[in-house]
Amino acid sequence: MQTSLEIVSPEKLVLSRPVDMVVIPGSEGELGVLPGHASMIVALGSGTIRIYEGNNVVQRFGVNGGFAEITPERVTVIAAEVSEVG
Amino acid sequence: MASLKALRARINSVKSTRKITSAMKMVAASKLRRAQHQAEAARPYAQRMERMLSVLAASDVGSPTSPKMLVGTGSNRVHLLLAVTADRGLAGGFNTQVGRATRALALKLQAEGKTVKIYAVGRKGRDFLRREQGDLMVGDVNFVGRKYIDFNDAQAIGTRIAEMLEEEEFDVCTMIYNRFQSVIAQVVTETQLIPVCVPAATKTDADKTATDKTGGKAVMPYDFEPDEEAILARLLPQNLSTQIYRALLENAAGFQAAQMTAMDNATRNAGDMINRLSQNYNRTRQANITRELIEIISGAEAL
Repeated sequence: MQTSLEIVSPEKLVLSRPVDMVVIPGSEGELGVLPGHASMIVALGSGTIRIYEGNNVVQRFGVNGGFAEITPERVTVIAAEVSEVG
Repeated sequence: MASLKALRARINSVKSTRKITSAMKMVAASKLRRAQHQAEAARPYAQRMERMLSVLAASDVGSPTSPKMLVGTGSNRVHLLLAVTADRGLAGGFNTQVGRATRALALKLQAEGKTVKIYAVGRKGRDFLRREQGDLMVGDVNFVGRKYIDFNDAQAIGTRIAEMLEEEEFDVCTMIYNRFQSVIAQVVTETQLIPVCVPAATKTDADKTATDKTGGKAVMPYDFEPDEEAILARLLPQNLSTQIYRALLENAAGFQAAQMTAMDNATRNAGDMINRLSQNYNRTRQANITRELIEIISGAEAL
């Protein structure tokens, strides 16, 4: 089972894809989100969003502030400053 | 009747005007495509932001410590009008419409005994409103010489407004801008920014009931980390900037569209004018020839 992840910046929809797990840098500490996670809204600190496929990190995004809305089916990250880290 | 020479000069001048207007039309058309694209790309962010805000606001309603940006200062005596226009003209009534709507709203509010302050975004609106209601102007910003507008520009305005709110310089903030409805229609729109008009949580409710029906899952209340208030305090300024950003983009797209339409009309009018002038010119030329012929013939007959 996968959860669908969306990352949006003011300029555009940065990413939209299903993921196995995503780790997001909450302002109170990192947060690993698996499918079926309880609904919550989190303020983000600065750090990297890591996207997992199986046990491997496949993509990383740097963010500085922003918010994430988590529901059992999807994760939406909105961030003013976001960029993919190679 | 004008002399042939004068007519010729006139035709040439209208022809060069037509060249300019048709070039401007082309330029506006290509800029429009880009501006429209930018405006569309910004939409997902605004939508997600709105969804999040409605969830938060719904769970924060009635709290006495709700941030000012959400519930207002408690009175509605001083109104701040944020008039968004373009920096350039030659776009038909595009800028004037916003100017007029702002003026009308200002007069209406004043008639109700409220204090009005105006913050102008864009050079044309600033000039218009300064002429009409310069004493109400509290600030202005423009993007003259800038190719693109980015989120930082909107954020700068948002921050300024948030500061003014913090210092209680106004109670209610309304934004007036041209909404880009289609290439031929830009609609002057008034949006209340502060206190925030929370989009009724209908959509979220609909989502929830949808999951209820399909998955049979219980509606799960949201958790917040940190608490609602802290998130709201950060989300609201972002939301303000986002709304301003959207207005700026719509304004930019609308401006190009209005300019394109205006220049298209101008080009067509110039064409009509050239036709009329050419006809006039030919007629005059014909009349001159005929007159000269008559003169020659009657001269010959007299001999």
